[in-house]
Amino acid sequence: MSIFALDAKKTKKGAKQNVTPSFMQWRFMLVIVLVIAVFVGLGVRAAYIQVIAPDNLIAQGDNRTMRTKDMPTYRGIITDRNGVELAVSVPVRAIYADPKIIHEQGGLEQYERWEALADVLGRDVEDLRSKVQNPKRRFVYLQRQVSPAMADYVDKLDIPGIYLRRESRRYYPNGEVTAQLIGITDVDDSGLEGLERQYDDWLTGTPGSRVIRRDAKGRTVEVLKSTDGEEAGNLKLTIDQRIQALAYREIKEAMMYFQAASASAIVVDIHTGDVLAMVNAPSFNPNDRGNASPHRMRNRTITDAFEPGSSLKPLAVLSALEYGSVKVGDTVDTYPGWMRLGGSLVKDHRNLGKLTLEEIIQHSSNMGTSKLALGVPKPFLLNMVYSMGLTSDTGINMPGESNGLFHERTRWSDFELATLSFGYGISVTTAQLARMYATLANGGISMPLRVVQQPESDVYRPQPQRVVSEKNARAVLEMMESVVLRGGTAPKAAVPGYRVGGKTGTSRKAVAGGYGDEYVNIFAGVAPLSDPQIATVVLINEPAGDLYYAGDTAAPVFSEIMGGALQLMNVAPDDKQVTSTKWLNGGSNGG
Amino acid sequence: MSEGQNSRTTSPTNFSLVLILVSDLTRNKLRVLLYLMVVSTAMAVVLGSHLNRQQNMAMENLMQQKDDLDVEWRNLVLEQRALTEHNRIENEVQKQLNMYRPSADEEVVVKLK
Repeated sequence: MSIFALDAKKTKKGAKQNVTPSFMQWRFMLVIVLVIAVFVGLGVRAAYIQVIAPDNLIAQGDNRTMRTKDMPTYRGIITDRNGVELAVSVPVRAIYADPKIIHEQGGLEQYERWEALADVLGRDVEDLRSKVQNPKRRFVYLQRQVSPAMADYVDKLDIPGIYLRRESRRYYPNGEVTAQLIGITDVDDSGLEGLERQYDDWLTGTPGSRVIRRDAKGRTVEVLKSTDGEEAGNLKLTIDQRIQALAYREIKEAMMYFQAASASAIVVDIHTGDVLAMVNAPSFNPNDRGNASPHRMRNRTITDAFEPGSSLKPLAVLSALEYGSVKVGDTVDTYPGWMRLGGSLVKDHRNLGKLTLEEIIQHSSNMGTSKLALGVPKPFLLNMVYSMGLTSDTGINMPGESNGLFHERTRWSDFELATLSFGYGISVTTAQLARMYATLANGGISMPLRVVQQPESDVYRPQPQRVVSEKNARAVLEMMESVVLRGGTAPKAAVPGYRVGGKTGTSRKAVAGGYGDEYVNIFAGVAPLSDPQIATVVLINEPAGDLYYAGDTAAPVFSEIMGGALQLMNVAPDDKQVTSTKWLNGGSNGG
Repeated sequence: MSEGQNSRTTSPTNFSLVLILVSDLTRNKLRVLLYLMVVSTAMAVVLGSHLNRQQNMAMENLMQQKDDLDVEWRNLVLEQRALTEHNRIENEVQKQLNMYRPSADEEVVVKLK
């Protein structure tokens, strides 16, 4: 106050006292104070907002600019050995509704749009509308797996409360050809059957996500956080799609022609154990499996075990050779074509007399194999069955694989051993039989089968293992050539241009209390005999037509599949007189 | 600062603002330099973040493109596989081109040795 008084005095002393307005100190101070107060107020408010309680505004800002984007991943692609895609996922959309929003925003009043929606989905409009009647619900699927074009249309209909969601759909371009092998996925893209199920984890990736900041125009201006998803793995099979397609066509035709209940075939590369084709009929369309009953989905080559019948006979001969009880040139006397073993009868269809080992296989003599089987010690014979992999899994590692049926017992009657030698009293799957023939063809080295090339399986697989000597395996293989030659049981199995060895198997199906009237026809074989490459087993189950001998049913199918496979794999014909040099010579000689 | 006040006091009537500014600036080179650096780095930050945004947008576009191409590729693969399915090709060439698989008699094997 004293200063104020002093100043007032001073101004009064000045010369221009009357003209100059008096400086009103208090007013000036007031203004100063007010101005300062305003700025302090602003400062405090700013500090409050920025420093003390910034969370709310940050949240508000983030709400307007920050977005989390999911990066789509698709289920891995399954290819065959040549990189031909067998299963591919493509993105589709799911249409879903939020009934609460629909009711709040009056979505149901736009009746025309609902009609258009029902129209494009091919559904009844009232049915569709009834799904969203309950305003308490927040999520209803209207339609899943909608193509992107349809989804765009639905998006443009712009009905409030109806949204689209990304999802993916699995397509199998080969349809029923590979249906059981590859299996199927459900609508949520998880594997249900076959390899899709076995390799579900590997094929499924985890989606990544990115947190981004976007500007007013919706453009991404900043990536705040990026989480990499796990890339889905691809699966490379050992299947050759061409052979697979060929085999399936033949199997399907055979099943219809012979009116069989089912048919299956497997083609194996003998050197590596790679399964080149694995087909079953009847099959189903994995792209539209409305009518797929479980019996069509079963991969019969590995799940269904049958008594192999005569196709097991080479094993009896091989056992005898391995044990040394007979030599390659020896003969076995099957006279009089029948014998009694402990009250049961073993017989041939006629008296074949003295047979060489080759003729035993050629004529499929029960007597011959029985005598050979009884000529070796029981443990040796059984051990042969075990080591050929007829009682264990094939290493193929697929869901539902059966190990066949073989009763382990300590006491075996002679009759049981005899029946075992001609393929009764043991049930094996088509794959197990194929493995046995592949082992024979591979010079006695047993390779586990495999159907997936990449990734390498990390579960236990049986190692390649020599189970019989190369010499004896070779000898039995040569003997089997006689089967497809004139006078054998299956000349129809011959493949023009190639030397083929194989064996028929016609077995009766066991029913409760004995053997029924249904047959299983098998043909198992190897080609080309000069340098074996492929083993093929064809199985025709319960042919209902006039033909029910394997030589008439399975053998011609085998010939078609084997011939096609050899041609597709560029295997040089080994049973041809016409080689290039001869052909040229022939030309120069005028004929 | 003290020099500035001195010059003002020695010649109170005869001064030029520009001259004073220039002389002041030349006398405090370090501060001028710092000032200029602050301004230029500030501009650089602005420019940098702008360019960063541009790059982000470009990347976003490219990723979108990649996704779209992947989807297109998947659809094309499906189409290709459906059209080149082995049995279908075999049927088509038999019907349309009158081709057939050569029988064993017609095959000529050329051995390269």
